Amino acid sequence: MNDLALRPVNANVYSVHSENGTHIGNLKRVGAIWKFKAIGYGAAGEVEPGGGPLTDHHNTEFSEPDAQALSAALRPPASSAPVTVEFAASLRRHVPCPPQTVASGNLRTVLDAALAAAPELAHYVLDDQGHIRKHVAVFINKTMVLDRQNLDRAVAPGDAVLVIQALTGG
Amino acid sequence: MQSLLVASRKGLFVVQGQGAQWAITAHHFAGDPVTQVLVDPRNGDWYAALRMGHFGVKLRKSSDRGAHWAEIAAPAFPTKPTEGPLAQDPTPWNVELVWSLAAGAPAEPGTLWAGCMPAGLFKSEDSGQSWTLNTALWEDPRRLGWFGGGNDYPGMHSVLVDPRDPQHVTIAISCGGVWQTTDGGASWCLTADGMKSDYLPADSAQDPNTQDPHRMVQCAAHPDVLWVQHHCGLYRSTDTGHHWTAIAAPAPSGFGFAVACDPVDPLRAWFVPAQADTHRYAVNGKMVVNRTGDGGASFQTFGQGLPERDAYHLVYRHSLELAPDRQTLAMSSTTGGLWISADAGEHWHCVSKDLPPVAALGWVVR
Repeated sequence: MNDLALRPVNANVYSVHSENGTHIGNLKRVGAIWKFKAIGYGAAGEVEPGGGPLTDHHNTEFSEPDAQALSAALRPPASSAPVTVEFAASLRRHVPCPPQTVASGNLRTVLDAALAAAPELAHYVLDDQGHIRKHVAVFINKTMVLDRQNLDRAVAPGDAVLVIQALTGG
Repeated sequence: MQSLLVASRKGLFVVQGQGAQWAITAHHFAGDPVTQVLVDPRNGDWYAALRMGHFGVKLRKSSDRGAHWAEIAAPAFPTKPTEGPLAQDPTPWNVELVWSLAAGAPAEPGTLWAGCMPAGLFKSEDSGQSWTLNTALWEDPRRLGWFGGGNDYPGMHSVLVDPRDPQHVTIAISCGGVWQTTDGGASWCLTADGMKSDYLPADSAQDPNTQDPHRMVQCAAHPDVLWVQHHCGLYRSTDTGHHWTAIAAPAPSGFGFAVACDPVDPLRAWFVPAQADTHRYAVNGKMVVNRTGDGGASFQTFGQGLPERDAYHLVYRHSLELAPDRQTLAMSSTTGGLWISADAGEHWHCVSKDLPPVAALGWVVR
């Protein structure tokens, strides 16, 4: 979340986006100042005013709509930077689940938190023993996780987790 | 008009018609492997077991003849213990395949049974909303002596609920013999006496625990009568499966995978011969069906309408099913063929040779 981007909506509002393009809030003119309004999105895509990864900075005030100033001031504490978890379309065709932002932790806690938004998806990803299915691949920052059983490897703040199917067939 | 469910590697087909007029009228779960189907005779619900190569086994249910499907729970093993005698069980505790589905008694409308691979037996008492592993069978130490028949792990392909008594369930496993319970699954007896595995050393060939029945069926009106197509031949029991009598192999072969029996006439059954043991397709490339009307003492061989040469079809375990009218017989193959007979197997009509590999058939019974 180093470089936030501001996109003008109108003369009094900018939408604020994280480095990967995720909408995380709005910057609204209120009189002579600008207020940051944090925004999150629920499992079904519903808007959660005041939520999202920068919820702790909801209503932070700024003198100008300056992306650099926002980036410096709205930097989340390192321990609370969210992890993004995304499920490939091949999974989402069975159970809808938009990208999730969850707290960092280990792969087990990260997957459990993400799958809490779509519990029906869990047994598509994990087998009866709670291990990653043998034909499902999990990537952390584009590096594939090789150990499907031991899911206690750390997932750091800001990491991106991707869950896809591992093989094609016929 | 009759309706047939065809579970294939690329989805579930509904085939409708009668006589020699049949057509595919629906295709559900297109592209997804369907391994078993059940039409619940108690209320007409349809169940389809899927085996998604990437995402595991799933179960779908329809209460409106396929117009809408809902995902229900699939059987799943509990967490494997890390201590105790089962900690070293080499079998992975993951359901790889739902191989058989059976409805409970009319008096237990929510009861379903699922036989799986690895060979766990699961029971649902809420129409598939949840499943419970039968631990009495799973934790029987003799299970560790079972082995896979054509698959990495033993599989439970046949589950029969006694029409007289819902507490009495008989199951068959490749390769794990025949077992039955009379107390609803609290305890089990191994009942494969009489079966023989010719390919094993003499001193273990008759071990009930390692027999390889390929498929087991029961005469509904005479539940003491069961039939088995075994890896090494045909068997019949007249004492509810406690003892099995070998049937002399009919021409052209006593090898095969499928068996169907008449629900009323305990002497009538059908088998589809294949060339043993490493070939496993129609003998000499000529596809035929054998029918007995005297309990296996003699057979008639029928092939009219079936390919007579260069036919390499294999009719697998759940691919021979008799319709409720007791005359219409459907047969499918792992090569994507589907044939239907309107006269108890004497003449056949080819519905298709272009289907995906077919795993199972199920007639719509209501």
